[in-house]
Amino acid sequence: MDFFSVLVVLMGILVTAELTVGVIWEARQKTKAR
Amino acid sequence: MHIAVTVVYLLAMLWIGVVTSKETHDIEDFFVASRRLPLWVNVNTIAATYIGAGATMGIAGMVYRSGIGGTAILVFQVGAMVLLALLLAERLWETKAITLPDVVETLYDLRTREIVTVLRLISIAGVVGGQMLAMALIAQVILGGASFQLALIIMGGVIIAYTVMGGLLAVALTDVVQMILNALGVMVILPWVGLKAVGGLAGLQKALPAARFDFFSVGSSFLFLMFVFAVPGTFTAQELWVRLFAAESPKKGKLALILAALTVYLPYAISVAVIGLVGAAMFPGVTSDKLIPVMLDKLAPGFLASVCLASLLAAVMSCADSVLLVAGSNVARDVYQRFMNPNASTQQVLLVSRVSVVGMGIIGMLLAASATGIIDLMTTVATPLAAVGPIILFGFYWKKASPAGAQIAIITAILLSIPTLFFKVKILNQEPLVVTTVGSTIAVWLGSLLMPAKPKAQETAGASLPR
Repeated sequence: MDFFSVLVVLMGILVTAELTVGVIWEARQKTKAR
Repeated sequence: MHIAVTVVYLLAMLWIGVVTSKETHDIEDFFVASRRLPLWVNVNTIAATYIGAGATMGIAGMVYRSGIGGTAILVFQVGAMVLLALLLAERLWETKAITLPDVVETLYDLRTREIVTVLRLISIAGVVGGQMLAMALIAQVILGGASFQLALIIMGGVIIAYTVMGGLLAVALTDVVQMILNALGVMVILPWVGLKAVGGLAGLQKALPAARFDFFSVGSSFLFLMFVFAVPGTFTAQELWVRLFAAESPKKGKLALILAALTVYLPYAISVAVIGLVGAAMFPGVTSDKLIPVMLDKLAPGFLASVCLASLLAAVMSCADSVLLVAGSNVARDVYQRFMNPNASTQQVLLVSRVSVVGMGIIGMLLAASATGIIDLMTTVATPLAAVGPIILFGFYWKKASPAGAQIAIITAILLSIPTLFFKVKILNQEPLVVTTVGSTIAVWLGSLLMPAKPKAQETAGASLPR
């Protein structure tokens, strides 16, 4: 795979990770606060 | 395989409905998730709601036909979402509203609210029907040639079930799953298998003419049209407003909308553009709506293809459920609670809210199954709602904006849309949306100057919103 392809797929992975990690992190913060 | 993955996914959605139903005790819980939607849940649900079949299959098909300029509408929507966040997000939260007509009443008066409510009611069944139709068509592809009616009943049944149980909280939490699944399918798996098969950027450039890579090659009139479709619609999208009302704080609502626009929706547009280009390079001659299913069939191995198909289903479901919930709120909040029975008990209002969601869902399914012409007509009739954008902006930012000005603006929008919509006469050779938006902007300004608000009326406006 060339640089461009790696970049596009990496962007997708980052967005997926952002959405997943954001929610999990937030849920953990909320449980801690309780 | 496809069906097994889909069944597991649908059962998970229903489970979320059951769990969230325990958190739902009154109308604020039901329609605005008790105004306690956490930031990242909100980012997910905003993105999921705005990314649907149109933004995915529709835009991939457009890029397939005409190059990366096909993503123009998504790019303009990103801009409009950021503007909405900066200009209105905090102010909308502070109104403590549940629906769009609530905001109109807070800014103007009860009569203006009545007019907006009536316009909204004429069109919502059509909007729900349109979503049900899109959802069933995609489910039909995924379920491998199931009949349209069966796909409609299964998919419609599932979204109605979890929406009626848990309201916005259920819709938002299912959106989290749907958005992550959607990003995995459309932003990771599809570009990965596609780019690998086509030979990366070099492969694309070799197979396609250079104009396909030029955003502006689609032409300025196309870009202007996309601008017009994207901006007023995004500004007055109740599905977005509800998520601003539901945020934990005004700042968090604003931030969620900006993050969803810039860090999810914009990269999503890039991924969809790549998918469209890969399709054009490898599968010329496919009808553009079949493009993604064909790519999956040819490029992705079994399990990955199932995940991608489920992710497309997720994209349409997360739009349809939000539209359904908003439609229910327009009936329960704006008609029943505001006009029919202002003194209804919490329990009564919640019951009517649930009945409204089921009712709108069934009407939407019936329209999708039998009367697509009516769906088109109903959504077309909503064009005068473009006036809502200007009157809301004026209402928040111009002290002199008056109820009379707002009503004149809406009436102007209705009058301006009649010749263009029903007699196919184009005023000044412009799209109906341009004419109604510009016309109503001028009307609210002139009308407010000529017929200023009575000072007393403005003080009491919105004071009587039921809680």
